[in-house]
Amino acid sequence: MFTFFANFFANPVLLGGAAAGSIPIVIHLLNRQRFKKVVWAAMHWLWASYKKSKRRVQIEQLILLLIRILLLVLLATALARPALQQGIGLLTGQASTHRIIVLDNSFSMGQLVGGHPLFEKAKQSAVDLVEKMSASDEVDVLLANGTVDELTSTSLMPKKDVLDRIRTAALSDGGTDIPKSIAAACRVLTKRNSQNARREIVLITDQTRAGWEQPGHQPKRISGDDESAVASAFSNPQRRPKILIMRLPGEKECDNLAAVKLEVDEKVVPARADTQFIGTVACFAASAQKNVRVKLKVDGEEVASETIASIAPDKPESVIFHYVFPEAGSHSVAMELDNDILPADNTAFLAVDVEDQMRVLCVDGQQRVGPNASVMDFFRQALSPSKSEEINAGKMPLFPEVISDSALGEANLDNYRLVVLGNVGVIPAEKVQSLVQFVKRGGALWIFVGDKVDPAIYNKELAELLPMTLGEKVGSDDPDGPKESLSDKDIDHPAIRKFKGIRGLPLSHLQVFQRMKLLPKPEPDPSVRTVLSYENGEPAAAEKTIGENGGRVMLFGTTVDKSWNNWPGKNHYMPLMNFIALYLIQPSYLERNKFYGERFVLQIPRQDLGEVRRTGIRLVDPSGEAASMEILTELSRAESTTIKKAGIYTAEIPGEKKHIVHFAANRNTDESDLSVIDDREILSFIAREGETKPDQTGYFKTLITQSDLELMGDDLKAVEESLKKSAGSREIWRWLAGMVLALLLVESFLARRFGDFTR
Amino acid sequence: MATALSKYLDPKTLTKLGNLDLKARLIVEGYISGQHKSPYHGFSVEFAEHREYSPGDDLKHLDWKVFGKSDRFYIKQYEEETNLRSYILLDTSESMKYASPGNISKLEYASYIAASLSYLLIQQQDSVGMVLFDNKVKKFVPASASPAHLRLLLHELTQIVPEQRTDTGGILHDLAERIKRKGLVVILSDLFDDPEKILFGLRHFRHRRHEVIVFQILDDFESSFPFDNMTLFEGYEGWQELLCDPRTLRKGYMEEYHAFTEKVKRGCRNTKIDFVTINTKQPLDVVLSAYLATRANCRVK
Repeated sequence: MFTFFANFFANPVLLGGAAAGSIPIVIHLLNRQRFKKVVWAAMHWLWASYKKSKRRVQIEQLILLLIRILLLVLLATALARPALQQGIGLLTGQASTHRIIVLDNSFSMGQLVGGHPLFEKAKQSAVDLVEKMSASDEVDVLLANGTVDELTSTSLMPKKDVLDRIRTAALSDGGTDIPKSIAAACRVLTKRNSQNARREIVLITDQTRAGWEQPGHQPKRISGDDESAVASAFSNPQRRPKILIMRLPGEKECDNLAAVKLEVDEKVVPARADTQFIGTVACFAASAQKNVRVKLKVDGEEVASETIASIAPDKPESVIFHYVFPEAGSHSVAMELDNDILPADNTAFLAVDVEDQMRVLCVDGQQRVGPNASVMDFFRQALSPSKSEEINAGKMPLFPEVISDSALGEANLDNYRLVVLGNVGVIPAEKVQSLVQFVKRGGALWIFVGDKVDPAIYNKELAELLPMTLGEKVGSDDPDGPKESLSDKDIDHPAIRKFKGIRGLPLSHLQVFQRMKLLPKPEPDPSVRTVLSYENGEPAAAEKTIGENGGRVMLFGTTVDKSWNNWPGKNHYMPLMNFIALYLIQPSYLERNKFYGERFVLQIPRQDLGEVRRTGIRLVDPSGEAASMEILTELSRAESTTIKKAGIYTAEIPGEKKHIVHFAANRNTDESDLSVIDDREILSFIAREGETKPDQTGYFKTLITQSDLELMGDDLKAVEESLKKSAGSREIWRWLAGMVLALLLVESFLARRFGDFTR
Repeated sequence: MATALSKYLDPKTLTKLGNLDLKARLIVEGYISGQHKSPYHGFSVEFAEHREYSPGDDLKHLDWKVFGKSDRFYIKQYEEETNLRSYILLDTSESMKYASPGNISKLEYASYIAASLSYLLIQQQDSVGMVLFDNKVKKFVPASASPAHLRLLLHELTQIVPEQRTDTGGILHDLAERIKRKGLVVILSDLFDDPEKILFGLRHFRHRRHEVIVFQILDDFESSFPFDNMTLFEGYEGWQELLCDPRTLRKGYMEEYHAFTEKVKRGCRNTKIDFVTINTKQPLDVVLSAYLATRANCRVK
């Protein structure tokens, strides 16, 4: 019953006010009960008057009563804001509308149609829709590109301003998520809380699949806050918004190539050494694309080019470039494809820091005279294998420096990227704190145990740093005694993953005859991971990340030399030590390579922090616009705002050595797939009307049904007709309010005339 | 003195006084004190016959001229000149009880008029009689001019208990038959009866060559009908009660009132009857003025 009224009235609850129509009758009846008594002599005149005017008075009273009842009923009806279905045709005028126009400005809208970006056509459609709205209508315009930008701050913004904002809207580098965009529009509908009877969401987008699907052809679904926003907007059955999606067609031939990503083979990029760049190119086309030319640009200059013979659809191809950076510093790298139908995704960007050499501090707990007698001898050779370190200087990325444990107290840790402790028995308390701060600033710490290490002292003094608790020593000191091998299983940890592909170097060849047990700490820490295990499943090495800057601590339950194991004698030793060392060292540029919608993070050297704080950091985006970065002093880092443009950003870092750093922002190339998804397929993921079972597979679950949503093409006239039809009803409350006013005047006039109030 | 007495012409002031005798006297004195000429002058005593003196007669009435001629004592006998024989006909039906808030009842007002007229007449040595009636004659006091008669009349006025319906027309008709000797008939009534019957009764008086003055006594509310809200009107004299919105009936009521008054007034004019409508808020001198005007008319004839 309520639904029935809900179809005709915007506020059906107020219809209950029509009961007020009984008020005149009640007043009449009450008045008959509440009268004063008068003893009267001239009854013959009174009765004569009554008999004469009885009929007239009754008719007059009846007329007044009916007018009063009608007046109150009409007033209640007007307040309930009734709407007549179209076709009744009695009244003119249309219910006022609150329309949300969602303009898809994802980069796929930059696809060229007839030589012009599709987005221009979308903007023109939005302009036409806004221009045809009446003065009483309200409009909001949103730009959808993964995130949603509100172009209008209020739905009552002057039409001219709205049109200006639409005309000046620009394409973004984000992707589309249509269900999410509709949820955002619902959120705005609820937030504005317009009293206009009709609510519409018009989404202007392209026909691509990416807006509706995640990779793997799974439908994008609303959840969490988005689900609540849709549920809230559609909760009122009589004010369910009408959703109309204009799907602007692109070219019939929509073959598109995309530069998906550009990476360096090794995270740490050394100067004067060969650096290998791996570019990935994807083909979104019906058939394979032949002879695809790919260019590599460093700091804006083309330095290499390759041709990919063929790229099959849905099978991205990699292309490898080699380049030697002559000197250290921040550089921008880009991979470019030739222009095609969608120019936006033809470039992938990368910002790298080219390093001279990274210094590694090796603290030897048992320095002895003689070849390979000291604890760190094997390790030092593994990182820098040549006898002549001077010759190798600049060739190997890591530069180890060995000091004795007694010299640890004087060492300045800020000069090193990695500190390795080998069988260090005593660590001064103040140095423990220095180590903690060093790791928190993003430094790396690698701990090997040995005879001099007392587990109890380590567990107590280094509790904050150790990923696991050191347990009892097991095994014997006899190298020929029973041995335990490392496990070949579960070597997914990124530090040792490369061993997966190396034949002839199974980790099980690495054996220990003595070790300290590594025991998980009672309180769980999600950053703790087991890196290596013994075949019995017990952990052999574990790591932990500390602090916002991602400083890593690695703990091995055995020695770095061959006191407790056979590792230094194996071929594994050198790559294992290098892989892990390079893994532990955090390249400084990683947090400066982000995707659209993320934030850049810049690590600031401690010595520059004061100057940076004083002058600030000015980040210049690819189009030359500047923005400031937020400086988080405690973390020695700066953060940008959300990235809104793809490309290379630059910032000048003040300090001891003023220098430029680069940042790179890439697009998510899921949006590069311009293949068309047809209406039927879309509708198959939208619940039918009346479907109440929870449908977890649909875009909108069961919150939005097929009757709420209409898919249209680019025919604006058809869209307008559809909006008129679907809106369906015309509000007549103003008309009713006019009637109420007129009746009020008539009632006053008649009451005066009938009642003869004149004296 | 004149100002002090004239305040007693106000009906509300009179209600505060004690007995009716005093009230009547104050009304008349109050009225007379405001006049330029006394209404008493012009009345004289006319000689009737002689009779032989007998002991005990007042010597001042001896006719000394006859004694001088005949040496016999004769007493002069006079016939007092009765200017007029008046009858006051007072309606004591139940409807006369009505009094709007703040006013005296019509009956009370009429009683004051009757008392003051009686006082005035007897002071002038006119004879005055009184008839109290509702749907029948409740009291018929024959006319007399003696001062003791005044007390009788006033006593009767204080004994009135209004309780019956009125039949003014019929009663006038009956009384016209009973009062044979021509004189002045003063009718004090609200005339709540059929106007035709009333006029018929009045014409009968005129037929008997009486001078007639009709005082229609009405309450202020009866002539203005000032009610607003829903009201239950409970009638006197057996009228059925009526619940109505007075605003809707006021127009009709006023039409009825004016039609009735006009009809009676016209009928009276045609038969040379003085008709005066009195509102109980009005001072009582209006009544006395009207009476004296009619009285003067009688003397001219």
